[in-house]
Amino acid sequence: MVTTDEKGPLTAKKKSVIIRSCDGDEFLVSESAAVLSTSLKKILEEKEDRLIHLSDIDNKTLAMVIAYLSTHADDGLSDDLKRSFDQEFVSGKEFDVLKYLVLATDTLQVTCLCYTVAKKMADIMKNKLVEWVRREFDIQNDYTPEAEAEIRRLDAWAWDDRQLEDD
Amino acid sequence: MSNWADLPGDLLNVILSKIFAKDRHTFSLVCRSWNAVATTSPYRCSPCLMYYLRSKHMWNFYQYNSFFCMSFPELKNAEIRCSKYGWLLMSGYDNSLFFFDPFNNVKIELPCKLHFGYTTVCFFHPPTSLYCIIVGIAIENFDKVMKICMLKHGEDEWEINKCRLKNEFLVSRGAPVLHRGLLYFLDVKGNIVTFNLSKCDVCKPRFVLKFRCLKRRRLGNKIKEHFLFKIKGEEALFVVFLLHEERKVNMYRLLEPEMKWERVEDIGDKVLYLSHASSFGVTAYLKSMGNRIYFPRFHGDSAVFYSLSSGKYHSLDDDYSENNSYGLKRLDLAAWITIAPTPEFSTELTWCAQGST
Repeated sequence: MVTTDEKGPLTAKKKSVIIRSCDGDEFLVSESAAVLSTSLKKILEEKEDRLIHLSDIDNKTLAMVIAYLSTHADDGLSDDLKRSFDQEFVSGKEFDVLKYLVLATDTLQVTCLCYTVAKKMADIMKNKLVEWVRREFDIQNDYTPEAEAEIRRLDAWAWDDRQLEDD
Repeated sequence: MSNWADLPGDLLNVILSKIFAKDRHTFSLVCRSWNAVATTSPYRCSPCLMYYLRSKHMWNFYQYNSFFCMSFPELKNAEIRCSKYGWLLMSGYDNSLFFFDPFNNVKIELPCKLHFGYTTVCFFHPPTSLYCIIVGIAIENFDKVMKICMLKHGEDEWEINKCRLKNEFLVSRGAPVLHRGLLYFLDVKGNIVTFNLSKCDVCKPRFVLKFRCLKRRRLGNKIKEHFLFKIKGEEALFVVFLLHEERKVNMYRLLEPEMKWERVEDIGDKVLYLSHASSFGVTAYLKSMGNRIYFPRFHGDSAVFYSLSSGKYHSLDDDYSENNSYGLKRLDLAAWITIAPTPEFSTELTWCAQGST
């Protein structure tokens, strides 16, 4: 269903690897793109195998990650272009898509994409009420009313500098 | 099917590292697993360095190797004079004074302006406390007078105290400290002045000027920057002097009642955060991160600390390591700020009680 826009770097001789998603779709990726993921790099260093099976990433998420890796591996693109690609990459995506993306970046150890997605999620939560975050991210409130009131009151983020007070 | 609540702690930590100010409080409140990540976050116990970014017309906050940018239209042309308990004491271009809590966006206007000549102004106790007091210091070398003005919570007029000076006196830029009811501050040569904030004790003078506090008095002429501060859990007062152009670090403890500086070479698991508007010492989050002094200085985008173990300036995330501070970006108007608790009250805060009725 989904195929990557795998153009490969202009210097054609580069090696490629095949990555298979948990639902069986296979993607052809240039090695220069694959090694941007620390885990893929490790696998490629350890064995000659050109086929990597990822048991916990679905085809839709994998296609996105590969599109990201290919763009970032493209030496022909300037850093500015890559940055605007990043912006566009995370915008307008559903929260569930972002969740699978961030989980995939954790598995594949793609730090820069992980930061980009995390930043996007932080931006989404900016100036929002707790109730909004719970509803939109579909998170069950597992606090007892007393515990929630206690956390609201205590404000653990406040700095405890009572002992630094003057006299 | 994994849930947002079950994201691995590492990932939640990355997300949390992009969240700032009251959004963090929201983050903690979402569910128990998110709160568990928040309670162990290093961001909880790291102060922020706040400074104005003129190029962007924004205020930048540096915290634990992350930068957060915020815009405060109400702080236009204002300068941070003192920072404590999550509050900033600021002055406007017309010398008007006000308190500002940037994390909860609360402003408290003060009823009187700072008079001309008061180069130092600081406060003690949070502005919401009835004990809050604002203190200003002015030196008039031409008239040989030192003036200290005080404004107590709820009052709308400065109480001014004067003291005659025998010699020329130049007050340091380091913020004064309140210690056992006395105001302590320094001159540029590292000498100490104490001032009794309350006038109840009639047999003792309110102003006490102590000279020859440094054993090697010639060092006094070499001091470029002064930071007077307390360390959480320690009884004494401490000072850090930056000497010469290369900013060599000398730290001392105040011996009382002799009023002499005694050299300190090691602070163990303590970490110091020093800036002209606020300086303090606390126990480090990790023991390995102790024995350090953070100054408002950067190497590129990385914060710089001075290690008392190595005797050098180091940057946090690249390989910078030098025994002088040449080439570092210096942010003299930056202030360390801790995060104030979210106020429970919804009414507008005022300085004078009669103003609210």
